[in-house]
Amino acid sequence: MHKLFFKTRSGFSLLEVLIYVTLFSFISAMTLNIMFQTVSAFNNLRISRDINDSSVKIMERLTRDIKSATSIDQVNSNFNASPGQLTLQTVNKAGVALTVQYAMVGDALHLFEGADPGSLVDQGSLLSSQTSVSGVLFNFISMGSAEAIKIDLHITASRGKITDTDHFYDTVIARGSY
Amino acid sequence: MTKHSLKNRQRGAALLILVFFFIAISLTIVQTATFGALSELRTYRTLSASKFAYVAAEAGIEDAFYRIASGKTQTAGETITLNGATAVVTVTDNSATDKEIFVTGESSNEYRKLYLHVTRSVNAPFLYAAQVGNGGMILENGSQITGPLDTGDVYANGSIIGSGIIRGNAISASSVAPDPMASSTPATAGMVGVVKCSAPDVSVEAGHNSPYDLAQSFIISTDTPSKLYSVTLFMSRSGNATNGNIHIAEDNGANQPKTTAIANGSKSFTYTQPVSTGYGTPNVEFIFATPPILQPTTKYWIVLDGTASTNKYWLWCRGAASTYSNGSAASKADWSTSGAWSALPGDFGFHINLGEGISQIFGVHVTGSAKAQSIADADIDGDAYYANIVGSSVGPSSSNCNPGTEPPCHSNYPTPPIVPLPITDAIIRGWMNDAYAGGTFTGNKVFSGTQSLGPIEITGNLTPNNGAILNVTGTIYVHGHFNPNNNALLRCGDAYGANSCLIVVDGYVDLSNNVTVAGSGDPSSFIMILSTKTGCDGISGTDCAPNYSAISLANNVDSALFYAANGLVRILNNAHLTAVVGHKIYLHENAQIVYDAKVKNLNIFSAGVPILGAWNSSRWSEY
Repeated sequence: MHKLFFKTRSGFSLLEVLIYVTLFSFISAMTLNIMFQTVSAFNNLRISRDINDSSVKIMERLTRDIKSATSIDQVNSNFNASPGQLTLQTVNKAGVALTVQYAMVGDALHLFEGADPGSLVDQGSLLSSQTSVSGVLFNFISMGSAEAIKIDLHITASRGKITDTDHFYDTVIARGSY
Repeated sequence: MTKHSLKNRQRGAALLILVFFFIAISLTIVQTATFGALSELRTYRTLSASKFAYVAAEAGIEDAFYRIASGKTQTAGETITLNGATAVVTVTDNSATDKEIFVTGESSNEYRKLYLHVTRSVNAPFLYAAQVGNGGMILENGSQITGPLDTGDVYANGSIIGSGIIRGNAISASSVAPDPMASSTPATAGMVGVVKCSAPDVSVEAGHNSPYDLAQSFIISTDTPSKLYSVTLFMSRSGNATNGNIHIAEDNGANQPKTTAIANGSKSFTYTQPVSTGYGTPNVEFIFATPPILQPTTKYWIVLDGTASTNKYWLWCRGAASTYSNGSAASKADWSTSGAWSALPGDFGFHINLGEGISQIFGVHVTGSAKAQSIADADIDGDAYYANIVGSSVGPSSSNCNPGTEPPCHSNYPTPPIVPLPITDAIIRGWMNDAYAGGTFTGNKVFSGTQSLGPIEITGNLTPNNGAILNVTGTIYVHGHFNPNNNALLRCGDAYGANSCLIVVDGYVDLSNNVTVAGSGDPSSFIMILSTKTGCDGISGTDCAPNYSAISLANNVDSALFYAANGLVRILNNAHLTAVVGHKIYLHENAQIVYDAKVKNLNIFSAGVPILGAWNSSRWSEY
């Protein structure tokens, strides 16, 4: 019985080898493909998360600051052109006048704060890592009794070979300007 | 065997290991992504809850602000629930003109807090470029009401007609509404289409066989005195009866009309009516040129005054049975002579309309929105709100709104409510007292050169001569007329700063050619000229400025505000001014009102009664 057993397993026919190699390559290719797709999807996911994180952070902050602004400093702002720059006159929690500026440094949007436009201090970038601002545009809207800002924000993120850009828009009324 | 068997089992492992290896990598990635997505989900749930809380807090702020602005009751610690989120509102009253609102919004344990500080300006009588009483507004060709960014808004408690341009919104209001109780409708049996008299109802003739005059009594159902705008009678005519005359008479105490009228209305008909049919003009409305003010719980009579004629007469429909319990019907040969009336059974068919002002926009070009009961032949760039519209062009696509779709056509829109003119008599008396406090000048004040006046009361006229300069240093009250001559200059004194100065005039105001008017020099300072003159309505009057006006303006008075609550403000060709309030306003060719929004926060320096203006937000933020 042993003899017979070994005899049957003593070698492979060419056909067997061919079938095995074909099967091996096919399954390997499929598995690799699945893995690459997973990696690619994962990177896409991370990019979209990076962009969303940055956009939510910037938009929430901008919206909140513009809403509470007492006036929009038109001299120290750059409207209707990219890269835009927005300077707001507002008050801090204690009711003391505060100037807030959003401006580009390299390809990142930075927040500056100071008592007046001449003494602004860079508070750092509002972006998460891996993302950059590919364009930011502020439009000034005056409605006679109130002022508003329309924001166009374009954020780009890259991971490996994958790059994606998303566009965000919002219009906010400076309520303190009523 | 074991060794062989083991060796045997390891044979296909390369593939399995490879597959397991890659699947493990993929699973790790998927797991990482899932954890990432879950944490992102939590973040966005928090963000979403925070938005819910914020929106609820906004709702709370707006509710509180609305209650303050419209004088509604404010409950302490009011709570508003909105889509699962709640907002708790706290209002702090700092003073009658200063309030702070604190709102905490909460949703799924996420909190957002909002703060609104509202203040009320003490003097804000000029909220519109032109605010008009029920005399209405007329804009001649080329006249214009404008302002920066098209803020030349007009609010009229009467009609807006003409061919000028309103660069802003135009609202024509009316308070005319039918009295729901004081009316009688004859039974409709046998009536076809429009309401007609037919059996079993009776029509009674006025002017055919004696008695020639008919009357119906009524009592208004409001509990405050009301103006009678019009009376509608269910009537028709036989022959070519032309002029229908009605009178409103008080009761003589014996359930009969007095022989004198408190108001008269008439109606002319110019078309030919077939004699035989007789019922072609039911529901005839008589509008009173001078509306009488009717008192509540007092009986009045509608008298239809017929003149004897064998073939031209009126038929007024009467129900055989009583259809109105507060009135009765009667007839008499001639209402204005002494003698008793004969009572008639049942009631005549009638309706009355109380209120004032005609809500109508006719012919003008409005660059913003237009609101009125009826709009005709108008060119409206924005939206139109109306009950009926004809011959107009509305919106960017120039729709005629017949039929129209929303936007720009808003049909079945309720007639805009009338808004009282902003300065009350009590406030004007306060200003007069300011002037008295500075002493009295008896007689006419005529002067040349430069003169500083005020506060002062002048019992006669105030007339700066040619080239004179009037420096207003306090409120001036003129009992007579204010009639500066050519090239005079009127200005507020430097001490006014950003405040505005005031001249109150009991007579007319006539600013003829080249009179220059200015504030103190500060852009927020204006001069306001107010005339209390009554009876100068553009049609008749005594001691009026030209064309029976209370205020007549013939030149450019850019920093000037004019107020005439009881008379016509007439703005002549090519004159410019800042804002105007009048019972009636007439803009001649090329006249312009160029509104400056700064007058919304006008501060008239006065020790008298303050005018409380609109509530305004001075700080609105998160905290």
